[in-house]
Amino acid sequence: MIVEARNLKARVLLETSINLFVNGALGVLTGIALLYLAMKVLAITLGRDHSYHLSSKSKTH
Amino acid sequence: MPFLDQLGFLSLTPGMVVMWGVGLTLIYLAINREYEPLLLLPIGFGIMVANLPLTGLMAPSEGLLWRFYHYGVEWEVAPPLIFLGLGAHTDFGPLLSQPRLVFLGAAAQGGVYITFFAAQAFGFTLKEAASIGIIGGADGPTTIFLASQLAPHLLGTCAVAAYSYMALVPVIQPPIMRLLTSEQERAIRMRRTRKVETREKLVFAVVAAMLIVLLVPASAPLIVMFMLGNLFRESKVVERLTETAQNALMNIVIIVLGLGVGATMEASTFLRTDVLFIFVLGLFAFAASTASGVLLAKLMNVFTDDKINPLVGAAGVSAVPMAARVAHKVAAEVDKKNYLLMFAMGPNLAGVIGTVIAAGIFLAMLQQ
Repeated sequence: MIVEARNLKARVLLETSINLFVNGALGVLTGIALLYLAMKVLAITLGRDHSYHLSSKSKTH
Repeated sequence: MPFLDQLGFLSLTPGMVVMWGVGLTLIYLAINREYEPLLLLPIGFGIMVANLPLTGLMAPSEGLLWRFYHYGVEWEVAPPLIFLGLGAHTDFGPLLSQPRLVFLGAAAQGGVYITFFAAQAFGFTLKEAASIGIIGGADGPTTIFLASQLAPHLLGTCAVAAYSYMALVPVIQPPIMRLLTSEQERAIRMRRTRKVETREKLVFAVVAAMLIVLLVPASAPLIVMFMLGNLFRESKVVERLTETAQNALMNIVIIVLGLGVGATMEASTFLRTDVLFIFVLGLFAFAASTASGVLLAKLMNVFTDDKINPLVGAAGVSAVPMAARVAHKVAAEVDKKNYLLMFAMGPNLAGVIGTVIAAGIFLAMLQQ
């Protein structure tokens, strides 16, 4: 009984650790990926190339 | 005689004297070696005075240092205010000009999780293991923020370990960087970055805060203040607030935080064998974070023609700007004209954000 209880406790601990690792790694990667996308969108919409592109366009028209 | 009863000398214990030695060592390192002096000096002094008998400095609800600790650290005030100052010092330009480098900040969190498992193998509880693992992020305020809530009894040790290793970045990182890279890789010159518009930086501060808080609400106290400080800086319309956040406020908070953290290190809580394990695991976390950043940069090079110097991966640990400077210095050993600092600042800042996200997830899952 005592051995079983110990094994169960160890298994729960391991599962919680793995759960923490998976959630943590996923969370960090998702957060960083979101920031990457945000930066890409900002570069396209507000970056210097964009303003140059707009100004040169207006001149040609 | 009442006077003799009040003599501190008679109440001294050997443990207290040993802790004076620990405090003096930190003060020595801060003054003579300039190892993170802003934090290690008040922490060292805090340790010494907290281990003077009969002072009542750490008496709950009454002691001066207890108030610093309680209202500054336990109430989660000091670390977010330090993040406000850090944000006001931060220029996201290098990161915005090379968005792909943000992934190196995520990779450098590898050490946090490896150490989290290692700490459990040494018998630490989940909460303690998380507080020890986060040392690998090399971010002092985040370490204090997390440890104060998950494992307050380890707060002082984790904080001292984090700041000690941050100070030792120039010693710890270069051998790992050299070991994992060839001379040819260290000589890679990265393509010049574009100029980033102020409006991009402004919008990024707001968008990044919203995105991260929506993803990991528990990280809000740190990330919100970090981005607010950055918004102050980039808006250029609140110079007074920027200047205050960067200097006066940050300095006051550092004094309160340093003394408060140092005062938690009384002999009874510090002179234990597990403290030694924490320092060893902290060093391991730091080394593993450095290695995982470098290795991801190498992996990214397999898939791209626009090569990344793998040394910038080591700057994914948050120690800003020391880790970026070290990457630059190691690259300069091979090619003196290779100016890597600006490139390394990108992963360095991403590392700060990555560590905050990792801490937020630990907090959300363990603080129940």
